[in-house]
Amino acid sequence: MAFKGDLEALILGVLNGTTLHGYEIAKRIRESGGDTLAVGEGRLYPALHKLEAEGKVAGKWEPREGKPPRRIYELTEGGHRELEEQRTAWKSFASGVGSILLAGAPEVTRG
Amino acid sequence: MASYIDWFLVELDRRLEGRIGREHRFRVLSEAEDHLRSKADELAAVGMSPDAVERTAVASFGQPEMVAFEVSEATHSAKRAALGRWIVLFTAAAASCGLVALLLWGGWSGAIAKCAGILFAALLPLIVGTAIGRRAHPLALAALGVPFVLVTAVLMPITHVLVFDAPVAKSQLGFVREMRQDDLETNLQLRSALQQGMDYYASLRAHRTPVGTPPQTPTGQFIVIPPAEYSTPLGLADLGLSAAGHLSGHGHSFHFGPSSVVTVDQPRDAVMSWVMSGPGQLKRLDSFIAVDQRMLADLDGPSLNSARSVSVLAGWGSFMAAGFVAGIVVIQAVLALLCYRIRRAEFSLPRSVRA
Repeated sequence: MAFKGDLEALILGVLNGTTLHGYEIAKRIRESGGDTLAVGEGRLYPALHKLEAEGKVAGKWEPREGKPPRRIYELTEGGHRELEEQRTAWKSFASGVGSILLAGAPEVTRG
Repeated sequence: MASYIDWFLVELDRRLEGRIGREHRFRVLSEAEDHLRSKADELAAVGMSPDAVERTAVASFGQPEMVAFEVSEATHSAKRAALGRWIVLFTAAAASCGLVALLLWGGWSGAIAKCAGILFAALLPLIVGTAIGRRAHPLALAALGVPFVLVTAVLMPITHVLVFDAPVAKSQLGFVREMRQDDLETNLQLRSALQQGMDYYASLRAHRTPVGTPPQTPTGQFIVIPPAEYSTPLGLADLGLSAAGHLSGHGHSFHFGPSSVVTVDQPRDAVMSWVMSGPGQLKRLDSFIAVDQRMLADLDGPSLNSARSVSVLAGWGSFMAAGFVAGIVVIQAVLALLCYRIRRAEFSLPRSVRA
């Protein structure tokens, strides 16, 4: 997928309505089937930090029993707005590409 | 024996050092460790051999060089965006300061103009530094402005002394050094001649018949110290011109401090000099009569003491200015090198990763 800011968009999408730590975010992105983190899951953290610096996600340390605290992230108001913008951009992109790729394609009938 | 995860964390720490702050580095390492150990646990849970789980977890995370580079890039991209906004702000502020300095420099608000000029000098390197080295550390860029403020604040008064005060002081001291004892005698003779002229003039007015011969003024250089009411620049110029005109005819005068120097080329009729200019000049004549005491007082007075101080300061000023500029250049070079090293450390991608 060659969509600008795809990793950041995926992070925002995964964090929508929930609070997750880094590994869980990476796991959900991986499970979604995309190859965004194929180069290295370590790419996730710089993107998370950038989003946090831009005020789109908020992070805090979560204490754990018998283990070091872990940083968890959630969307901010700005993050929600950014997610909406990314969705709109993606729809426009997908619609534009789809209208070209699917033009004249035979209709698939089922049953 | 160190595990793969430990090795990775050590390598990542080594590559992050100097690129990001200590607190941020700790956070990155902490998250990386948590990620790697969670991944290893997950892999172990599905039956992978203990030897392979850490190696696989590290491999899926990415090379330490790449992670460090991306962390650094992400950290500073937000700062660069903020710096872009600061560039606009600095440019507007510097332009405003420069404009204020230009508008007010020659007016009554010299102090405001100087402040604006200093601000302009401080903001200019920040703008240039920000534009050129946007990726450098903001503190290093800010530090670049400090020497410019010092240059402006320190060199401006030194320059004023060297350009404006020193030549005047040199003239004053030169005149005093060249003044010989016979010049003092000349002044005393002038005083005597003018006193005789006053008497002659009074006699002329009272008896309508001249008594004796009209006295002649001596030739030479005279110091003219005006009374207090002529101490304004306008009064001083008036007196100087008057003295030059009446005493020397084609003579000349120049002023320093509260005094004037009049050169008399030819003997003049002391009476006619003053009669021609009217009775009002008699009051001015009083100042000529007191000239010797005042002149002697002025030779050791605050005016010439100030001139001596200015002269000494001007002598040292050149060395001070040269030394100061050299120091600033060294500081600027060190700061520029610091900016360059920070920038290079933060943004150079290791060759192994580029390949």
